[in-house]
Amino acid sequence: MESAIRVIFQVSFWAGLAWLFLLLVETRFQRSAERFKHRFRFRVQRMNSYRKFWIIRHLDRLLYLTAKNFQPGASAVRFLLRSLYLFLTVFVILLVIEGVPRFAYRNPFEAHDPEISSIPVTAAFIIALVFSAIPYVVLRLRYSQNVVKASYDLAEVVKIISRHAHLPVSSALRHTADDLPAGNVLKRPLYMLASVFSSYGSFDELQAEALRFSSAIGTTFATQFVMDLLFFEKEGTQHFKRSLLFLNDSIEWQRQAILRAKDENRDAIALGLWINAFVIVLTSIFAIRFLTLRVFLKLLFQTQIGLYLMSFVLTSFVIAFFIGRVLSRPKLDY
Amino acid sequence: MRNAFVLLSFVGLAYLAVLVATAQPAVRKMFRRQLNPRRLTDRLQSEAFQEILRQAGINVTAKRMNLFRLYLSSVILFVGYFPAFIRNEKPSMVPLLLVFLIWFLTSPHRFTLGGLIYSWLSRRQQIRKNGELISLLKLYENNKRLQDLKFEHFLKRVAPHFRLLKKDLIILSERVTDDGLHDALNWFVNQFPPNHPFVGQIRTIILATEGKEGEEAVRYLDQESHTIARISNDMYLSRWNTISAFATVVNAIPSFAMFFLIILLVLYHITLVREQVF
Repeated sequence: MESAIRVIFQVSFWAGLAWLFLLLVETRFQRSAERFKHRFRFRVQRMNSYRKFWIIRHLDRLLYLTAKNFQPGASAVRFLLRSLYLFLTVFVILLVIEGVPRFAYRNPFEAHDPEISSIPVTAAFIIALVFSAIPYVVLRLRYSQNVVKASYDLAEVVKIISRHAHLPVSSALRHTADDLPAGNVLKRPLYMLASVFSSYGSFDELQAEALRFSSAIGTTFATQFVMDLLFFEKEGTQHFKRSLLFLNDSIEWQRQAILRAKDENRDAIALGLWINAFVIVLTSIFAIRFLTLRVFLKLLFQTQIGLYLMSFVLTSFVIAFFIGRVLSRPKLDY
Repeated sequence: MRNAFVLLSFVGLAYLAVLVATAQPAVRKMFRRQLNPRRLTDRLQSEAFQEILRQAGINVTAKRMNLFRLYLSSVILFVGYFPAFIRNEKPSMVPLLLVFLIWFLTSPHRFTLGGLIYSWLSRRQQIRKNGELISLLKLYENNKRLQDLKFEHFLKRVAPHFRLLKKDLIILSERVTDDGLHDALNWFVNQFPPNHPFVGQIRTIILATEGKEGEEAVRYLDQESHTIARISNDMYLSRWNTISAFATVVNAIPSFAMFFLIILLVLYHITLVREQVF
């Protein structure tokens, strides 16, 4: 108890100090942050060699559909730097903390003297690594949700762009992006596509950017859409509207087919979550009934097996929840 | 005893060094060639392993993969055993077990876990490839209905959009120009396993459609549309089945872990109580 109070005081002391410091430097900080951001963007955009790193290409692909203001290269470098800062912060904080009270014992029912042990460097390193991996996991989850959402949002894009089909391709794309609601994940990619369509130097450059768009969504309809755009950019937009209406028809037809297939299968996955929650609650109630609440909590929180297995159960529960949510919605594709 | 062994090994190494140093130039050259690091790493390249990696969709050369396995194993062995050797302690089994685990996880042999992982990856890759084939067929159909490009030009235009079929499609386009449609499509079908569910049907549809002109081709595609729909439907159902099997397994893990947790806690409690009583 005493040690817990000590930890709370330590944390609040450091947090208060940091807060005071932030209050002092806030205005200056904001001003220089703008300048720094501008310089950073300029430098990363000028530097073309970042593309040769596998990790940057990989992050670029993930961030294309998830970042709010995506910039090729700069977003990925920024994400990496943020993970690094998180790692360093957690690592330094864990090293600064003088000691943690020990709360897992072999026999939690005996009386123990409070024991305080410092955190070893390797443990701090591993914990910091796990913490710095959290943004990547969140990014991965958001990406796998957004990829599926993008395949449905493309239907909306095709509907809206067929209204602007009399315009040249670049301005049709820009008008479409203006008309899209803010929740549509293709809004920012469409703006980028429009800017490339209005100012490309060679057809290869145009095709590379268009390929990035279609491979980010990764469905047949996206490929067809992009191929149509490239074709009509070359040949003029007389038959643009007809082609878009045809694409719209086939998207709607496939959407019906998917809804029919989904109705048969959805329950099994959605039910899994509730069954898991039910089993966890039920077995806990049984255990409390036979062991009494105090003994159960002591076994769960003050022994090593209890802590390890409980964290395993909770993480696997959360993972199963997210995987079930991602899988229960198939892509709009053939 | 230990000192005697160390001395013996030193004497052996010295003898070998003297032999090499005093040998004829040709022999020395041979030694130098044999001991060239690049040549030694080249020996790690294995065509069978390379093929397995390619089918699993891993873009690494077999040489590099083997080098990585070897490097990791030797680092683990060194870190695990060298301090124990220096301090004259009894070596533990953990590093050996770790090395065995690494070998077991990445080995391409069929009856190891690694073989299982590679075959699972290649099956996934095959499913993706099938998806791209259906996508290609749909794009072909749309092309015939709307723009009506020539087949080889259509292939050239489509190819960069496919990740797995890209090279095959470019080669197919070249072959259509050089050898004619029939031979080229035969070559394309041979790129897939002989018991493939629908690549034969795709060849039939493309051959029949290319033989017709304009409106007639569109009418033929309308006739064949139920075949195309059935192919894509089968594909969709099979993919959905694998997904739901996977999801069922993932969903079952937390419940099992919770049962396991409660049983272990009760057993632990029983042992603690028994210690108190006796």
